[in-house]
Amino acid sequence: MTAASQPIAKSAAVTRMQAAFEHHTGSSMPVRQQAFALFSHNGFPGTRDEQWKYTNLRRLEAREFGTGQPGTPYQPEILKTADALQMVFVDGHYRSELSNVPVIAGLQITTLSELQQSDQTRLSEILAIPGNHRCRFVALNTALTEDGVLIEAGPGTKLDCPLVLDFFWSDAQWSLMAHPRIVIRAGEHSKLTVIERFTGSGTTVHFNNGVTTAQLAEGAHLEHCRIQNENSSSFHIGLLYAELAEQATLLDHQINFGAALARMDIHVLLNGRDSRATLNGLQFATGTQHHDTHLQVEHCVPHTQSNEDYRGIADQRGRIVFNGKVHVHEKAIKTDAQQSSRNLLLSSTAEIDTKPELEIYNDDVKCAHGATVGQLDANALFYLRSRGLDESQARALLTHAFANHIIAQLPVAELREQLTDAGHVRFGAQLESAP
Amino acid sequence: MLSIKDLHVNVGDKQILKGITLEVRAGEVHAVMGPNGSGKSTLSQVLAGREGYEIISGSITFNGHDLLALSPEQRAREGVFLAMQYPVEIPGVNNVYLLKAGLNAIRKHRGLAELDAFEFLSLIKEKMKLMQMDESFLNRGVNEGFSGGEKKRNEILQMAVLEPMLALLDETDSGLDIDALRIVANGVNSLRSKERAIIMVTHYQRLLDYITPDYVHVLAGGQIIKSGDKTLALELEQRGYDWLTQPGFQKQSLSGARDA
Ligand SMILES: Nc1ncnc2c1ncn2[C@@H]1O[C@H](COP(=O)(O)OP(=O)(O)OP(=O)(O)O)[C@@H](O)[C@H]1O
Ligand SMILES: [Mg+2]
Repeated sequence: MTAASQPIAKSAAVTRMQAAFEHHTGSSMPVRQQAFALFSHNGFPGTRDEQWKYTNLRRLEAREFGTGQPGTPYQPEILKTADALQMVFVDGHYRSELSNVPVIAGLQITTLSELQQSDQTRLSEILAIPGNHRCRFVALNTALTEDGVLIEAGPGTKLDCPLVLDFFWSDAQWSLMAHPRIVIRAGEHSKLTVIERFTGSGTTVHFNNGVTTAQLAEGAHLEHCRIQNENSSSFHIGLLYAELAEQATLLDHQINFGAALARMDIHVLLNGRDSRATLNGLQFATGTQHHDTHLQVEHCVPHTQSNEDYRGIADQRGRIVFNGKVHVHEKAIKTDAQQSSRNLLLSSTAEIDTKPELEIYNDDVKCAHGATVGQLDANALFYLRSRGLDESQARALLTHAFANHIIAQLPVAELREQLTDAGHVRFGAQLESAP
Repeated sequence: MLSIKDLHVNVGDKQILKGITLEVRAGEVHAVMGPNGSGKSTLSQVLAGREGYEIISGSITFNGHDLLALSPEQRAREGVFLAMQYPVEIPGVNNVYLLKAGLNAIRKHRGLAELDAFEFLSLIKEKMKLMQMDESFLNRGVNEGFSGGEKKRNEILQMAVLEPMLALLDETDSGLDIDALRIVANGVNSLRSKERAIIMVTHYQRLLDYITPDYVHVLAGGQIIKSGDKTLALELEQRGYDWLTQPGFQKQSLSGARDA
């Protein structure tokens, strides 16, 4: 018997998840049972796993998390977004009375809690673990998800307004976990924008483990954003998994501002000729925050394009991890893959680990990657100070300018403003807005 | 207003300024000329508070303050302004934002009320008209993608808005076309007053045709080797610097120039 096949002694953390699973309304569904078995067999990943080398989950494992109840009387302060469809989730449960989902031709929106009640066959189908994903958090999400949404845009449906998914925690004094599952099916030549926004408050330690899967049919265009602004005690884990057919385009923005520990995995499969993925991201870690993003882009067929533009800022004792892997399959000739990871190290106690990786199995490609870790430009700092600005204000402005390169590309004005405001607070100075 | 006494400055092990003494009173305009690499920009940067220069000896007092003890922003708030030889591009920091933040920091320091967005906008529009700059420059990043001449014009726009007591212009005329030179000179002259002083570094007489200096100094090898009035600049235009750096030439003190 080899060591790998020996049953691993279950950790207390896995046993606690087991209890949560047994109480789950869907625990009799085979898809969830298989997923839970997979999770409980492997447990939480440790730092010996190459993918988790820099991200230690000990603190997450040490904690006990309860599950939120539907209908907790809690009214979050919702940032209304003009002309947006808005779906509000509290402690992982959809709250229709706080949401605004008008009927739109060609767009079908179904919550997972609804499917759990009415159509478990359908639910099982959409919960299937995407692409045999080995990530254990996906298995945990599949087993434990209570709610989420299935978004289906029919062929040719073009949405003018974004769909905002707002996630809040109630003011519970005990730690909660939520495993939201978002499933996006973008039909042929459809066009839509989906924004996931996670807003924390207070100091209670929560655990969000979200999974978003997106299937883009021929010519579909999806713009997706994830704005992570959890409170700085919480844990936030997430996966975006996307498959693109011919001529489909994905434009993704990941913003990591909050949480004590945040880990995002972005896994994109370019499965169709002329499909294109643009992946932007900004991570900002200060205090003792730890932000980790792992990207994996697979060019599976000829004539596909990917463009990654990630920026990281680490201040105080913050820690940024970026791993961007581009995998060009043997037959994927004429691949165009560009990757850039630019980072600002603002203090001597902060740390940034960035690693672009290219795995190319044919010669006929155009690939480039670059990674930099630097400090604020001394010339620019002097220039601003010589015009009367405090050193702290000058530093904040330059940091913000660096971040704004990513923020400015977000699709909705309110979102950009919200992040600019949040950014100003985080960048260490209260800056008045420009006239 | 400004009193520089026997200033010695090094960068690393290299001596760059080797004993500069200069007196500037309110209302005066001084031109500083001299060969490339003689230390003119170093002097301007040291006055504005740029880090990286080692002050070996000497002193600088500005309106009674020990200037060397002040941070760059404190100097700016006390009224020192440097129009840089090579203005920095700062993408992502809005031009108008910088101006407003700078002006309000300076006003606050002087005990004046900060300007609100409306008051600021009308002020800036007036100054842009003076500099004949298009308003579209306002919302661009600081100097981002500006042409060489546009950058210089932007420096003078900032000066016009911040209204310094002591303006240091480091080759603001270099790279300007004939019309722009006139506009920039106009901007500088509009600031000229009994209370203010201007030190301008230049290589060319043509700037001095527009802004008449009270004194002209020649800085060479880290020292002021000659001072005179505006006729010195004309002489330099004719003869270059060689005759001044010949052995046997007597270094002339500034007071000597004044006595003359
Ligand atoms: N950071 C530095 N490191 C090394 N040498 C320096 C540094 N800064 C200035 N120098 C040197 O000091 C000397 C004076 O430079 P400075 O820029 O002050 O000259 P300048 O008189 O302004 O010349 P120009 O007319 O070409 O603008 C030069 O020889 C320059 O190379
Ligand atoms: Mg110079």
